[in-house]
Amino acid sequence: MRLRKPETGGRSQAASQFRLVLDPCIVGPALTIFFFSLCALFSVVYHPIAFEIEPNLATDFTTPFVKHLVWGTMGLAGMTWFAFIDLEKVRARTRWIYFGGLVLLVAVLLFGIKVRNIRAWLSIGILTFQPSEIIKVVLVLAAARFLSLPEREERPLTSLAAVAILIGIPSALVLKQPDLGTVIVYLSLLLTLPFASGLPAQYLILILVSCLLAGLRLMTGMAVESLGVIPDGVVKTLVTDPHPALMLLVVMVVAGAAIAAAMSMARMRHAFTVFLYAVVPPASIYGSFLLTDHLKPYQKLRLLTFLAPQLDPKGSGYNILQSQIAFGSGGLLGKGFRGATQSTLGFLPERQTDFIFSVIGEVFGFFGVAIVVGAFVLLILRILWISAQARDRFGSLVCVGAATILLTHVLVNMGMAIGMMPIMGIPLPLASYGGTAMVTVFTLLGFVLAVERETRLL
Amino acid sequence: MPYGGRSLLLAAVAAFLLSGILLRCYWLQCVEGSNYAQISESNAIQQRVLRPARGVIVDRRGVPLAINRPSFDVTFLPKGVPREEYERIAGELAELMGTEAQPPTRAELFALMKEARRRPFNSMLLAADVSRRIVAAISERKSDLPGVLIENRARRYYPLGPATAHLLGYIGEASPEEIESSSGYIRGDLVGRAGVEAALEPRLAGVKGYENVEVDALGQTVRKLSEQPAVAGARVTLTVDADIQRWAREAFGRDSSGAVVALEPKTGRILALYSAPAYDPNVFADRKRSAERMSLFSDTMLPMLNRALQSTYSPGSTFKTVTMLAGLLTGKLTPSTVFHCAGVYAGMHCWKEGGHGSLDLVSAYQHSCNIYFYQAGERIWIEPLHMVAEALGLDQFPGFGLGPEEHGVVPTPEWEKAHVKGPDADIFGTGDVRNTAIGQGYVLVSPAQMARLVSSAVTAGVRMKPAFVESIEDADGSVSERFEPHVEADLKIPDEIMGTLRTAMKAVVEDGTGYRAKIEGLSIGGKTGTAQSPTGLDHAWFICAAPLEDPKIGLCIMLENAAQHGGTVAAPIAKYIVERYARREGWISDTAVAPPPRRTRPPKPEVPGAPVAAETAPAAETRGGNQ
Repeated sequence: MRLRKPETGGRSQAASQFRLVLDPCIVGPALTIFFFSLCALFSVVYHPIAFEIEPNLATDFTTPFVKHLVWGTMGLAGMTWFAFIDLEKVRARTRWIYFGGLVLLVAVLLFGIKVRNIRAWLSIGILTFQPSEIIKVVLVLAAARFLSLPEREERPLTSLAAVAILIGIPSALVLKQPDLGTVIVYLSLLLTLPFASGLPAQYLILILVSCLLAGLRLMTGMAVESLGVIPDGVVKTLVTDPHPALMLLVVMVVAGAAIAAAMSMARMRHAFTVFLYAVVPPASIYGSFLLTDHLKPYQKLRLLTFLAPQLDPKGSGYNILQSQIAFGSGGLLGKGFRGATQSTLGFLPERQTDFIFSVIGEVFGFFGVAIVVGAFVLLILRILWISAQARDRFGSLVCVGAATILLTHVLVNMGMAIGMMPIMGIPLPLASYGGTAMVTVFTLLGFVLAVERETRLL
Repeated sequence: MPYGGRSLLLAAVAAFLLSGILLRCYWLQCVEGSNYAQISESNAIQQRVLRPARGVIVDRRGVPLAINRPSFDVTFLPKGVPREEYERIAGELAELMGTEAQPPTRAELFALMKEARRRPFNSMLLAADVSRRIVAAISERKSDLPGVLIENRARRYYPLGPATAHLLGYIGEASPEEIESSSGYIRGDLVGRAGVEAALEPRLAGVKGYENVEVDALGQTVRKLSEQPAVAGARVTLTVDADIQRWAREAFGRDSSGAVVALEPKTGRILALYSAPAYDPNVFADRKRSAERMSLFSDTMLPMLNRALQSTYSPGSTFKTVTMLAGLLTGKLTPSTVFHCAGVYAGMHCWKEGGHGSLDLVSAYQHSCNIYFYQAGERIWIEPLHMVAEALGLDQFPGFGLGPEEHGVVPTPEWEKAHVKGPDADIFGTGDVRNTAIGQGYVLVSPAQMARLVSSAVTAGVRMKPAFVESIEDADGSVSERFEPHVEADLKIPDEIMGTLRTAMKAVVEDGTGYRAKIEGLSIGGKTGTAQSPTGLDHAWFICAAPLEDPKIGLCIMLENAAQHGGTVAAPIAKYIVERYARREGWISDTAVAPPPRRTRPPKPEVPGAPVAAETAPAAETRGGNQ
């Protein structure tokens, strides 16, 4: 299926004007979220007390607020530019874009700048950026292109494996930085894109069940080991000792293979599916033990403090509690610019980036939070709607990828701010202070707008 | 799209998840909101600790021994200082402080100032305890250095330095364990670590105060809500005489190790306690001198060891005082008991080659004849020796209350059975008694015990409880503790025996082994000791008391591994200290003050036990070095 290039010639003046309009259901929510984040950042940066600390604040054009405004404007310009791009050209160059992305990730590991123990930033001249953010766009494009190839639909399982490798390579590079949070965003694409491109539902269910089991094992295992909430016994052994899981895996591989062989000899269908259902869940449980061994102490601590933040309120649980206090104390209508002392001033760390949602919550209260969450709901539903309407599979999958990236960010970041998720350094799209992430999200929205335009005009 | 329905299914899932988020937000803000609002309010009330001033320690005459010295820290208050200025300020400060001992670099200062911005209303320490010259220079350029402050802070200071090191101890920051153990310590508290500082820690530390202040989110005080003022530590007057401490250090020199302990015999007041080599306790009050602190703990001379209390040695001939008293008290010896010294007895040699000939008790004590006391010991046997030794303060903890002490040993058959392994274990034989009688063999004493021994002996056997506190004056001026003498034990030595003891002790100084301690116009008596040690380098002892008829000072001098005789090296130190003390107290007329004794330390032999070249006396021989 080839897209027609948008042409201006031979069409009426009205149609050509109509073509220039960007979808208000995308741009509107995006601008709303950005506006609220600007206000929150304003209250952080320009609180009256901040002027006492830094008298020259008003003439300082390097404050996060000013930079955020500049990045946002540049992002908007970029979005507009991408909205008018020819998607077919992008699709044709996806391979080069993907390899370029990998080169950037390798360059980060070699020449990157370390900030808070994560080597994620690359500096070229005056520009410092985070390649792992840009990779999010690259992966969406690459996976969408691969899955939209006509022959892929015939072989869903090999397609799934291929996409896993496609996403796995940059994930491994980013894990080296090490930035687990970003990798989780990458992996979330693996849940939605194959499904949206026709992967049979039983495989998706298999993946979800396996992830759930592994996650459950990980959490209970850490809770038992470090907090000692379960006395010694069978349950404790099951969640802390890898040997039963390994034995289960071996048994299931043998039993699954035997059953699958018997089924295929009896010419029954779904033999391979049965094998997968037998093997993948125990394998993922055993994998969670391997992951525990590879988690860094601070990562374990974060998981633990998520489970029990009150254990150490001034230590590692501090962020979670302070964030909840800031967020909750906003109440229904918020404390306003001057009153929001919790998050705007000393108590809440990372308030301009990872915890910007807590600031919004404190400054604007539930009133503002509902608007922001509502804007995200509108944005994501609209993107998926555009995906459903798209006549081109590539465009449709790009939209699903963009929605996935946005949704993962929103769930993890907001969940962290309100104590539903462990702490991970994942920004809130369109809101957290940080140039690369801002441009990345606006670029994704630009592609979505391009899909929408082409769907509308065809 | 063929799978458009799946996109819509994803949309439904997304809507479901996001509505979960919104529900949680509603819960936190609208249901629990007032709770969190309350918590956020209480975030704004801060309790601040008001640290009390540590109590001052003075000597019996009011001479300050441990004080709180004003010192100046350079700090930085970021509030109101433009960020562009930081680099310039850091540069100028680094230049100004370039003359300090450990000048901070410009980069270090800049990093600290940037760090300070995190809490812009709290000042950040840039340089501790700077010189007054720096203070003046910074004050002069105040307008060029916005945010840079000079803060006054009390620091512990020991004016006498090493002279009072082991007596006073030192202070250090409370350890995490101490903070954990709910003893009321918080981070940054200073805790007494040894000596008087540790022994009187609760009294010296005072009581912390608290103030509750309302602060804004950056810690800036809005108003004070309540205050409970701190109570300063008590002022402690010691029984110790600072002059004696100083003289002890002067007399000891730098390269010898040992101890000086002086007591007031009739009351038990500790007049001096000095251990050599000493350390400068002031290095513990200064964060910057951590290298010096570390070297103290790794020094092979063990300067941190309090040899007056924590080390035991053979007392050598000083123990003959016990043997003489035990003999007289049991009637086994009289002043006219005569034994013959032919230089060798039962295979053991006297220190004097060829022997002393026939001696009575006083001359044997005066010339420290080993062979006389071997035979005396055989006649007295072990129980009376042990009884008298114990009554005079040996074989027990001296009870100074200044930290860990050694118990020491005066052997009995039971003790030998319990502690000695090997073929010798069950037999407490003649050899053991002979060795005990001249203070060798199993006998082990600490210098503090020997000071108690001589003090109790010259007061007719009245053993006083030692004490170092003269009085403790609380912050409100009331005296809460005052020294009172306590009798621990009384041997009730009859007058005629005391007469013999005084005659003998005086004879030692007048015309015996301790002649170097003779002081013109003062009635001083003592006993020398040269004790063999496992290293082959003899310990030199001298115990003495003055004035003998009305004892005001009982003194023990011990030089560890001096490889010289007690009369040669220890007696001159005693003379120096007692003579100066006597002049100051007016017991003898205050004329020209003799300089501290100068000794040349003989070179240490390469092989332990090899013959030692003594300055004057003949070389010590096996079992014979007990002069």
